[in-house]
Amino acid sequence: MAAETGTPTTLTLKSNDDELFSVAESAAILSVTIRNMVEDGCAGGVIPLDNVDGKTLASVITYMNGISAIPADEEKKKSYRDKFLSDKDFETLADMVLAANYLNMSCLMDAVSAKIAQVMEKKSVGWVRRKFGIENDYTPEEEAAVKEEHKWTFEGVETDDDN
Amino acid sequence: MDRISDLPKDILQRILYLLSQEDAVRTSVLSKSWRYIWCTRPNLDFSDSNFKGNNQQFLSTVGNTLQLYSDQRLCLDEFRLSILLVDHEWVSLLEKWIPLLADMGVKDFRLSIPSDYSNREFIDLPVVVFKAESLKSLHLYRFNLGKNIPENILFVRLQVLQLSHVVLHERGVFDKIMSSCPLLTDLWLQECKGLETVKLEKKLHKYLKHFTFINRTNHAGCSIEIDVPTLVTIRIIGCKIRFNCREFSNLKIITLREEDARSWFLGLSKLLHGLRRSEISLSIFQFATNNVHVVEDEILVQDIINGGNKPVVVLCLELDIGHLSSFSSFLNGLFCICRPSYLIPRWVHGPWSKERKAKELDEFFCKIQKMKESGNEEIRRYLEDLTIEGFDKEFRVRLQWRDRDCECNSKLSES
Repeated sequence: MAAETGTPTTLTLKSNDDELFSVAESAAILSVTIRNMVEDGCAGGVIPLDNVDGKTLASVITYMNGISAIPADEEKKKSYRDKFLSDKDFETLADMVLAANYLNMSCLMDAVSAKIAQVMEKKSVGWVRRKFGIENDYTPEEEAAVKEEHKWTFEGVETDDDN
Repeated sequence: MDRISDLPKDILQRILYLLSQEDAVRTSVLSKSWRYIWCTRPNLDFSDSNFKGNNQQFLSTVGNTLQLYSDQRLCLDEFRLSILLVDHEWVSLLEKWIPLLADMGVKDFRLSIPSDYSNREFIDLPVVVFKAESLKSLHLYRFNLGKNIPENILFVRLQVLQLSHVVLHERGVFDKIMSSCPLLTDLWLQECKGLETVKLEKKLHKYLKHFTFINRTNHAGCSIEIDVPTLVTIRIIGCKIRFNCREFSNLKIITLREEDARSWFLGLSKLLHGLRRSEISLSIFQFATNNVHVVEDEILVQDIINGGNKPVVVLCLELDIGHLSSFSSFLNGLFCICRPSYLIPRWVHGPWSKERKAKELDEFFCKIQKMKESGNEEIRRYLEDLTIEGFDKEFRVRLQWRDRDCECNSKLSES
């Protein structure tokens, strides 16, 4: 456990590709996983995060620092999150959501999930497949059967050729 | 496999949770691994207003989906159902669905029948609704209530209750409903037949924040007693409403519309008096003033319209201008019962150009100026100064009052 000194405590995090990061404890404990380690007294040396790579961890730390600098104002926090995620592509979002899941950071999880949901909103099946690179492994007959079962969901979505 | 399909189930669930029912279900066509993922989300949300298909298909989709969740023992926490086209057949389906929800352990059930088709016949609300413990929000339109109301109503989770054009068949039905929803935060009562008294008490409704009462057509009248200090919004619209209220600490918005100038002013004055410890912003709408018949140049005597109470300090007073023939008398009346720091004019037939607004405001300002000179003695004596303050597109008139002999909340008097 960190000694109760006047200076803010800094933690060292290690990504699975051996990059080291320094981060203020007050920001890092947004992650319940890290907080538990700190509370259990395991945060003395370097905290290894085996499921997060350096690139993603750098991004998550930027988020941790950014959001913890904002005082308790839900509106401002929300607009920070929106801005933080606005230029991220899906690959990055997928990495982030996995990292947030591993680190147990529900606010980041929710924000990234909402961002991905927003991308899927009112889009045709063909569009979503192309956007996320999902391979259609249905036979035409099977696909027609599933579509028939949920016929009501196929009207009024943004059309495209292979819908 | 691609990145998204490869995400852990609980993350996919979280994403699906945020989609509309339609978007979520449509993911089943993406690929074989997506076939049944949509029904792992713990929420169902059906509304016939955005359903593509006829009413019959809608009902069978709702029924089949619920059955699927129940048969497969899938987790279901939230169930939202909104129906515009209501008939006996649909209502009888509730008898089947509600017990199903209870079996599945649904925690958040929202039932809404918001349609405003006035020609729809009144339908008896099935008893099973009163037994839906998971109900969090209930919005009913044109139902008969209370023909066979059960002894125990189980609205233990109910937060929002909106009753519109319902018929209460027996005295006490409403009280019985009200005494069984301790967590209520929003109450909306509109044109409820058979509703003679509404009594809101702090010991029963600790969390109540918003109260709306609308009674334009029911000529029997109604009496309202409010003693809930937590209220933030009160809207009372209509006629023959007698109300009585205690002090509030959080009230932000209050809207009142009634008829007959004297009782209108008197009612408003009583209410303001009850709220005098709150920070009050008062909005008076055109509809209200249309119904208040102030005879031109009639001076409303303070003692009659304020019931002996001192004028109450009000932060701002917003009102429609331009259409009132007896504007000065009306404002006179208002100034007898309240002391607004700001007057914010609203334009009924907007949006107008900035110049036109400025011109109207100028006239408005002159009217108050003239009224100050020729109005009743109260105004002459106490209204010290008025100035126009203009913002980007909005304008307001700042009023300075001379008297300290008025009721005022401590926060306001410090500022």
